[in-house]
Amino acid sequence: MTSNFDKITNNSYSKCSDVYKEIFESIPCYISVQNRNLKIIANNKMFSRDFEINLNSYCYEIYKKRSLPCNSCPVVLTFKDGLSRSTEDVVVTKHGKSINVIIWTSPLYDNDNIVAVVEMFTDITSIRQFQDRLTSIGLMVGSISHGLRSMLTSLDGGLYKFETGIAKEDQSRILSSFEHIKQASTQIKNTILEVLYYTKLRQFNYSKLNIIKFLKSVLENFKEISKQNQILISLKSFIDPEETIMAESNWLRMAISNLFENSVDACLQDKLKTKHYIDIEIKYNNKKNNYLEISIIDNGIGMTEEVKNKAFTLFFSSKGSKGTGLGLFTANQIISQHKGSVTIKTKYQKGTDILIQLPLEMVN
Amino acid sequence: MNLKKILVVDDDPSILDYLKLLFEDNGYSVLTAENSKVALNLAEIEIPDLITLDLDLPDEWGPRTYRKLSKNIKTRNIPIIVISGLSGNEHAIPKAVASITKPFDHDKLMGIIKKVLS
Repeated sequence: MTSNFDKITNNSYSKCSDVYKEIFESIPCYISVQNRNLKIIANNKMFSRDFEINLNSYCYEIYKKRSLPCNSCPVVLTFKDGLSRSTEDVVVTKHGKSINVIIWTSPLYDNDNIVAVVEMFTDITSIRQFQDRLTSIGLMVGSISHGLRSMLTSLDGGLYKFETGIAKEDQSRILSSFEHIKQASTQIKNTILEVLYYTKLRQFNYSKLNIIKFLKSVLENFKEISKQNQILISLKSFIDPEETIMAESNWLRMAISNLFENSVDACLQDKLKTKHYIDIEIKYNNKKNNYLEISIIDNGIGMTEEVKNKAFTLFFSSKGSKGTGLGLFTANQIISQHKGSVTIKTKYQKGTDILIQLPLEMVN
Repeated sequence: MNLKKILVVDDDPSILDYLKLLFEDNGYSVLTAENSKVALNLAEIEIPDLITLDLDLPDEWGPRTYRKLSKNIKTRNIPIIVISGLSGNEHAIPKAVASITKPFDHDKLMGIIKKVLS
């Protein structure tokens, strides 16, 4: 018995002129011809380049790695009513890469019967990625605007203190206004830097950096807040004091500041313990050669398992209106870009250890 | 002289500090609360003449706090001014005497407060 698809493959396709065959093969999209059982009976060159074709394999096995047809399959629908369909999906190539595709289908007739359906799709992954980025930028603006409004109000507060302090010749008011303004402007600066980092993929200019001096200068910014809140900060080094790493100092400063700020906030939020500390330890990694380990250990409020799992997720914040959900995300991104890593060990209500690994040399 | 009393509710300590100073400079007595629980408690005991309320509080959503205030016979008539960083906050508590978006002009805020308390 000659099935319908034989008619398509043996008769129609083989009888096509070489010119049409050449055109079919060379179209810069993925094209397959499927029968009613969703088996692929013909395909073009680009299709076999990126998808594993076995004789009589089902389409859903080939590029969806499924054992059953997909729900609302456009090919099935086109078989039903003869109308063309267009849809979007994610398929997996034979190299294991997921790509976003836009799919069109069209029926093939023999007399009045639909004997096969042509499915054509094209890779739109880069467009999707771009759209995702635009969507996230939109989301980000929404999520940070509330935080920024509070920071600007706080800055206004500092300026008000300063202005009235001068008018009243109140020395202590002027002094406290300075701390207030400094804190607000640091917050605003960091938020804006995070946005800048996120909106454009940065090419870093690496240079040699004395890591101990660098860490000390980062900690300098937290001196006042830790003193006010009686958080004991200590830095213990087990490395050569002249040790250098290759880093982009501005961005690395922001990353480490963000992680450190998180520990300070964790201490501030914890009302269970009366004394808080943050210990910073720096040593060589004894397993991975040429790697430094910086630990930030606090006895703050700690994180629940859920918070820990989402800690590096974009726009996730456990701090309500005070968080933008950008800080730890950017810190993690920046350190990864330095070929390093950040890991968190934490226990809710006990404290958190943040472990930063950074290479001494940059290897491309 | 009996000073008029304002209860400031906001979870950001630096903003609490700012509003407290601003209101005291303008001759009011000020109470502060960092969360809804403390705010409700203080409102019932102290019966302030005015409450400024942030919407995004750590323990409770501002409008819910407002509802509790308006159900309590002791606090139901205290005028509320919403001061929040959320845009569209004028819809959050329609019965508030005013809704102000952060950052705000302190002269304008004082203008509103003086009017409400006169």
